Amino acid sequence: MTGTFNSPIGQIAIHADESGILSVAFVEGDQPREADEPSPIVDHCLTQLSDYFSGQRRTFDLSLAPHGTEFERQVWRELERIPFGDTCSYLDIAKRLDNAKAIRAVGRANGANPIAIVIPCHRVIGSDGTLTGYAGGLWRKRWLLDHEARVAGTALF
Amino acid sequence: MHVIMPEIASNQMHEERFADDEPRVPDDRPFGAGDPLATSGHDAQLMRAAMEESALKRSGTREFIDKQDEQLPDSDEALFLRYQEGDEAAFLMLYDRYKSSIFAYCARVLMGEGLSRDEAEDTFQDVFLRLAQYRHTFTGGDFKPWIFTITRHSCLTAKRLAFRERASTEYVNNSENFEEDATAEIRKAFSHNDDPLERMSRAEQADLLQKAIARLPIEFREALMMSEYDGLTYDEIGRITGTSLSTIRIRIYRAKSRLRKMLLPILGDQAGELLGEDA
Repeated sequence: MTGTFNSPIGQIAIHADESGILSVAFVEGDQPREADEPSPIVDHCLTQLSDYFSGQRRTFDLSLAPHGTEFERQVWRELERIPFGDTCSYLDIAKRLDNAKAIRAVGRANGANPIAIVIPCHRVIGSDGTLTGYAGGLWRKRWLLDHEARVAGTALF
Repeated sequence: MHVIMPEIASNQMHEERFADDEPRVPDDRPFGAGDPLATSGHDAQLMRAAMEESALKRSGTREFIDKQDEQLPDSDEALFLRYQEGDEAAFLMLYDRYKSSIFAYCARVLMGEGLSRDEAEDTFQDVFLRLAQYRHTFTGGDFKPWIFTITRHSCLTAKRLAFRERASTEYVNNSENFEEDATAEIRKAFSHNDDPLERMSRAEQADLLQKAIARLPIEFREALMMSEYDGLTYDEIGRITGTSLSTIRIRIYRAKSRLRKMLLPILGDQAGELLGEDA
């Protein structure tokens, strides 16, 4: 089951199976586009992504089934708790998992997140406020954070 | 012990496979070359002349050597054992038997990787020098797999030297960019040498290592990275991942075994060094 979404920051490919969404990833220019295989779960994801980018949605309500180790899934669950428009550091996540020494492993798990945007790994930044890394490219991370700040700001004032 | 056994079996299979890898060399010389040793420079000529002179001194005349070769088709193993006892003529006979196939192997492996003919010829010479240097390590058994193992190691060394010269990978290490700088961090973690040339070679090896790590099962990879790259103890890894200490031990042990298996054919004995093992 696959679907594609044309976002303001590039095409996004969605993969899913019966258990849920497997991946949401930016498609780079040289990657061949896969044929869409529509399904209700992919359609839900497409709709919610569209709402997110238009500023109508702050949280996702989707069934997720990312592949990873137990530790990675734990980190990804923590990422889902970071509120829309907010950010936190790798160290914050490590501390929430009760082990500050796991900071590097948290960084790797963050980078290995297969479900971009929906699991908001873009909300994790360096403890000094720098953006550090992002699998989709730092410019996308910056855009997503600006977008969320803008939408959150509009709601506040 | 059951973990180690398959590795031994695998090594034996490797030796057998390696023997089968010997290139089929046509009767005429490879690449239209004459005798590769004779055409590979002054040093090679000197080496051959010295060996021939020594052989002639021992056996009287060149004709005698040829006659001996025709009349006594000794096995490779018997010839090499004779060479171990000081019979240089036996060494020359082995040289004549193997020079074409060894040179063809070096040329195929090295020139196929973009190395020059000169480098292939140097490596060819290196094989016979090693053969002489390590003659006492041959303790019988099949000679052909042994000489091709030496050839393969000589080719690997030549490739490493050549790639080291050509490597231009930048060694970088940013402070907190965990997601994008894993390669640089791994390089740093596995590098113990400040020599720039050595470091470039290390960078290349680290890239190989990272690719091999990426092929590990995810649980093995996670435990290995936490141990080697994050510097966490097995106990800490167990707590972080919610896994028992013995499981962590097994995962790291198996991760290293698999890495060693993947890297040995490429890096030879440097694989162990790269994995932080004692020589």
